[in-house]
Amino acid sequence: MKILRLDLLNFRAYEYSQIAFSSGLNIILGDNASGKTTILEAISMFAVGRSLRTRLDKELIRFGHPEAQLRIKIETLNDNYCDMAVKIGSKGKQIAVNGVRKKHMSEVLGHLYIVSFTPESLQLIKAGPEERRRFLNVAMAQCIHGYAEALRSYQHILQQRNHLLRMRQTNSLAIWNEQLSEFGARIIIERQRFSTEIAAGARALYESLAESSDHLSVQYRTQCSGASFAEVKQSMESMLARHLQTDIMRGYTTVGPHRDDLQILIDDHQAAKFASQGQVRTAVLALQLSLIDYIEAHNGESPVILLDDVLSELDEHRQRQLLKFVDTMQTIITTTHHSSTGWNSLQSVKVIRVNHGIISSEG
Amino acid sequence: MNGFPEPIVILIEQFGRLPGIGPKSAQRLAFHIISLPEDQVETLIGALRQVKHGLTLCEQCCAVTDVSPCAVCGDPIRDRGAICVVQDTKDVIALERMRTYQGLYHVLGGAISPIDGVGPDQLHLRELFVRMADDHLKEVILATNSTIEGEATAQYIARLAHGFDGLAVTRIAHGLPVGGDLEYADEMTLARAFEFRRPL
Ligand SMILES: Nc1ncnc2c1ncn2[C@@H]1O[C@H](COP(=O)(O)OP(=O)(O)OP(=O)(O)O)[C@@H](O)[C@H]1O
Ligand SMILES: [Mg+2]
Ligand SMILES: [Zn+2]
Repeated sequence: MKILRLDLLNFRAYEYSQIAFSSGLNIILGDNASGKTTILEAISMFAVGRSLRTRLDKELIRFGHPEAQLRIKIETLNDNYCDMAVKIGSKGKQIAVNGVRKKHMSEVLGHLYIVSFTPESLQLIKAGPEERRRFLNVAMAQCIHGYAEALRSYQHILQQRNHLLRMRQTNSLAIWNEQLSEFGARIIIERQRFSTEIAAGARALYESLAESSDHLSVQYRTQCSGASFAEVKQSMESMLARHLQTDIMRGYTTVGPHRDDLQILIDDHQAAKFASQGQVRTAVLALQLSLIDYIEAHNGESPVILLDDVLSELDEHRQRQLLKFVDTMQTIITTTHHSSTGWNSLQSVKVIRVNHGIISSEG
Repeated sequence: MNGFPEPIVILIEQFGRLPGIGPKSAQRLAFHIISLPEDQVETLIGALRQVKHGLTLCEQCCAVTDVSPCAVCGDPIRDRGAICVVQDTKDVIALERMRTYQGLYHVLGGAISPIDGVGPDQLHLRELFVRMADDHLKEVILATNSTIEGEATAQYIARLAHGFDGLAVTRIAHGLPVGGDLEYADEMTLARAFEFRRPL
């Protein structure tokens, strides 16, 4: 899969720019605050359905303008093309896929696959469970059909139930449990399946990246048990009943996939607490790269690799390893300086210079 | 909207409060009204007043009607053994178009939604439970929307209806649209259609 072209109109610092990408390595080169990350942000919108930097669409619109527009052209396997566009206004979004209007941003999902690695990716291990659930949600939304919708319905039911808890109106609480468990179980089952699958890949990747025998173990942790959908749903319903008093006391729902975690261990110790900086970096990289295999196996396409300002975070050896690893895929890298190592030794590099929202390409 | 004379501002505001009308449409409608001849405006005002004053809720089923009991409740031929519970009067009209249902209706006037401040007490549920106590009644058909709120409302009624002996509680099936292709159906619809499959 390749991104051929990206158009940005009044998107953050960009007035209007069109960027053509090469099918190999693309280097986005520019000073700080010149608009490099913005390009990756724009691409992610189409893969994930939302910005990874903000939940507020309004922030994406160029200061002083009423709306922003993005358009992307993708080439998929067998010379198929996909054209997606989104218009972001103060009242919402207008979306089109191949010229057909779509109602919701989740309908762009499944057309573009990305795997990204940014300095914030390290939060995956360092921060709390919320960041790890976010990692799962973002990755799964793009490659598992229906996951984003299930998640949205779940959040909606949860809001209704939590509202009752906050208002201390607890007598009609139970009528939300069935639906919450229905969507909750579906999310848990999908997350378990997904986690198990990437765990194997991540473990192998960690060993080869770290060149050590430490091993990385990744496992989805949930309070609800069961092997089948029906069992998990049943379990969640009884957990909701059992935690009713706690929920009432706290004023929110304390069981369900919104409280689960992805446990990450290095040599049987919790990575968040015990891993070194280098181990954290390698583990996160292994986890992100494990998505490549997953996407290739399940979606039949190679993802586009986005690396935001990360080469500087890795030592020379890892830089080279990483670049070799993504060699066969379209890769877009942002950096502030012409690197002395790594990419300048590679062939077919396209350098895209960015200067305060203005693009100029070379090479 | 600075600069417009006060009466126009008020009119634009009022139009803007209607569902599906944004600020631009509200402004267009307001200026359209201004351009109309006086008698046409009077007719419109009359029609608005008429729907508010000339309409009432059916004393039995709570549907919006001009006579109470409404045409369905007042029809002696209808089967008093079944009540179909819907969210809005327009659902009654949709179901009546089907022409096959012979029972009665009950209109809730919405669905339970805590976020919007709609609880059981804001709906016509008390009236429904009074009707459920009637011995002639054999079946309550829950036909609330297949949204999250519609489902929760159906759950609520089902739980309470089980307390009435000899009363069957059913939920209308949600599945594939007639003439719709399987491959275009979303997962939830497909899952539901599977769950409610029947022997042939
Ligand atoms: N809505 C907006 N309208 C106009 N400019 C914006 C908007 N949002 C962000 N910017 C500007 O965009 C710039 C940041 O862009 P971006 O984060 O892409 O830079 P970068 O090249 O990745 O920087 P760094 O190297 O520091 O990571 C900032 O100067 C910021 O003021
Ligand atoms: Mg940046
Ligand atoms: Zn009636």
